[in-house]
Amino acid sequence: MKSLFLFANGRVSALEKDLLPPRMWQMLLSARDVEEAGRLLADTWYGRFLQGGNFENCFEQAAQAIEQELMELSEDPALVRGILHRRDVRNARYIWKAALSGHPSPVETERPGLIPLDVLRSALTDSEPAPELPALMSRSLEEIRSLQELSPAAIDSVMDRLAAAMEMEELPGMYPGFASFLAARMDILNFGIAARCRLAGMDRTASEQLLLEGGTRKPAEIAQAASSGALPALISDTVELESLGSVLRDAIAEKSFLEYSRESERILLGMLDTGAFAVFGPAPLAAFVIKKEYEISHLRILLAAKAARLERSRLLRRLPRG
Amino acid sequence: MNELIAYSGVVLAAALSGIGSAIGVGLVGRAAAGVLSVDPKKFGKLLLLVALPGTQGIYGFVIAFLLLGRIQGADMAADPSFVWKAFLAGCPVAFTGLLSAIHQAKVGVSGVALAAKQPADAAKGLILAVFVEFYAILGFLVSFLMLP
Amino acid sequence: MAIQARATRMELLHLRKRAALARRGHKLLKDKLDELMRQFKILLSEYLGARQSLEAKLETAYREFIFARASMREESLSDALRYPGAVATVTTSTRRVMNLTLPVFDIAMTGSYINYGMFDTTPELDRSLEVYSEVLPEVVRLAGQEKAIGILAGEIDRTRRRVNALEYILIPELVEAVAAIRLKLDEMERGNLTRLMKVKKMTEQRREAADAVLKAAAGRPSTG
Repeated sequence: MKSLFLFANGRVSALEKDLLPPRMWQMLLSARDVEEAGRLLADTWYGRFLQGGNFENCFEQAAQAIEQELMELSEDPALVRGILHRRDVRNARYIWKAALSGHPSPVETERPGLIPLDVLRSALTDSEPAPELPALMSRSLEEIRSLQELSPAAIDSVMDRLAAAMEMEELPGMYPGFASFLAARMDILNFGIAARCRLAGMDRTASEQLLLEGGTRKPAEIAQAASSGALPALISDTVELESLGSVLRDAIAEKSFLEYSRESERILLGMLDTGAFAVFGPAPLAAFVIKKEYEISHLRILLAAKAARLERSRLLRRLPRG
Repeated sequence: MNELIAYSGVVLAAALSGIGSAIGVGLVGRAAAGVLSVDPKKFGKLLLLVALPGTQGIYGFVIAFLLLGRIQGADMAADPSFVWKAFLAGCPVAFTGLLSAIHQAKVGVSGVALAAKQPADAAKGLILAVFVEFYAILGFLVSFLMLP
Repeated sequence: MAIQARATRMELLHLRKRAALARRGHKLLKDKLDELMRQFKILLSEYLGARQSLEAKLETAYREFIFARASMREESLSDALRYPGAVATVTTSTRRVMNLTLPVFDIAMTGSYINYGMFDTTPELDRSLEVYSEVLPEVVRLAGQEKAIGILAGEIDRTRRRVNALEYILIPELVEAVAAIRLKLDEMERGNLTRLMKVKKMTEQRREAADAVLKAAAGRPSTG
């Protein structure tokens, strides 16, 4: 029988109770300062990781715990690869960029995903591609090696494309819901990139190079719309993202993408909630892991804003909660 | 030789519904184990959902048992159609048992997820699963009435 | 009284000359002080205005940056910022105000401040870097202004001290010394006068006495 993720989904549906409920978000948003928010957080699932008020450490451990669940519960290694290789790509970017730009000291890296850091480091000097390195990554490394001009920006561009390709490689084929979620996320990213390029005054060819494959809209299409100022029109014509048209228009006009991030994350969280209703297949587990990722990211934003004494209204412009 | 046809009715009734129940209980059992791994207090609520797809196997077993008694006590030479009647009597419970157990298990898995996410609605998941049970009971009844 | 001087007419003339010089110097320094104060006020109001607008801009940038930092992984952020794409060159020159040399800084930027991948970075990072790169020339100019204000303030302080020293110490002392010498000279003159009068009186008395003797001798018959 195809992997039904029965045990996983049973466990996940019980674990989902640990996601912070809207009421908790309300309380966190109304917290007067970061200490109060920390006290509130200590009573939640995060409390077990919270020692001495070190939030960074707490979130790191929480993310680690979630990944542990993922690896133990997933019946399909492709799901684990799809989620954990994202961090490997980021680590590869840090290491390769530093080594190739002649940065002297060792750079900070994240916890390795599935590929040990040493493999990433030695991949640069090895002539034979390491067996641990996924095909896409070794191909990107080849591409970097063959670059005419070895600038950080050029490496970044290759690594961006690699990151997008790795996400789109296996996951969309696993489950139809993944395909639509990832495509929507890629579209959101691409529209954001196009708008950012426009605000930074880049021309059409430069921005088209930065746009990534994998969304429902092709890079050429988006670049065309960006150069003619029709980005909002195009996004409101894209599946799932219809409501983002006016938000993107305001974002470009006000040069502030807070609402754009908030609304797009709201859409993505909505899609994840739908995905969690299934009881067979990888969707609930994947949705749970990604929901936790968003939750941690939102908590980091909330705590940073509370620490900087940012007013609640401004925080609400960014957080799709409460 | 003819007896074998009659006996295969017994085999079908016991085996197919048994297979269905085994698969069904297995499916719901795994999902329930997932929930219990986080929240062992839910055992009482999930027990019925796990047990429900098991009933089909019991129906099949009962029909097989009764059918066996009839076959052994029958005079096959007097009634040439007896073997076929016996065979066909085993069929309804066999097939409804097989399919309804699997589908009931799927409903049951959803019910397990429901019970985990919204404990207040646990009973509703059970009721939905019981609806599937209804058709297994119909199959059982038809088989029972068809007993030669 | 600090100035010790011999009470002579020479000294008096000398001190008078010094007092006149001090007064002229005092007036000049006072004018300089006024001009310095005027320059200072202009510079200060410029500086305060620029500083206020800069602080407002920095605050917006900082508020964006909070979101950029919180929604990105720390490693990602340092990776994005490790390789700057823009090069800023600071040029220095000077300008003169009165006797002072004040520094002037200017900055020229080339290249794009966006020099990172778009996949893991957030739009807020672009925005805060944009504001930071916009305010960088202002910050550098402000640094020059701040230094100029410091130099000017030092000069004002020094000039004021001189003006005060002249006004409240040197000039009064000179005036006092002149007056004292004058008094002493007058006193001496008066002393001389009385002495002369006394001498005159004494000579007159002596002459009268001699006359009386002569008169007596003439009244008696001569024995010779």
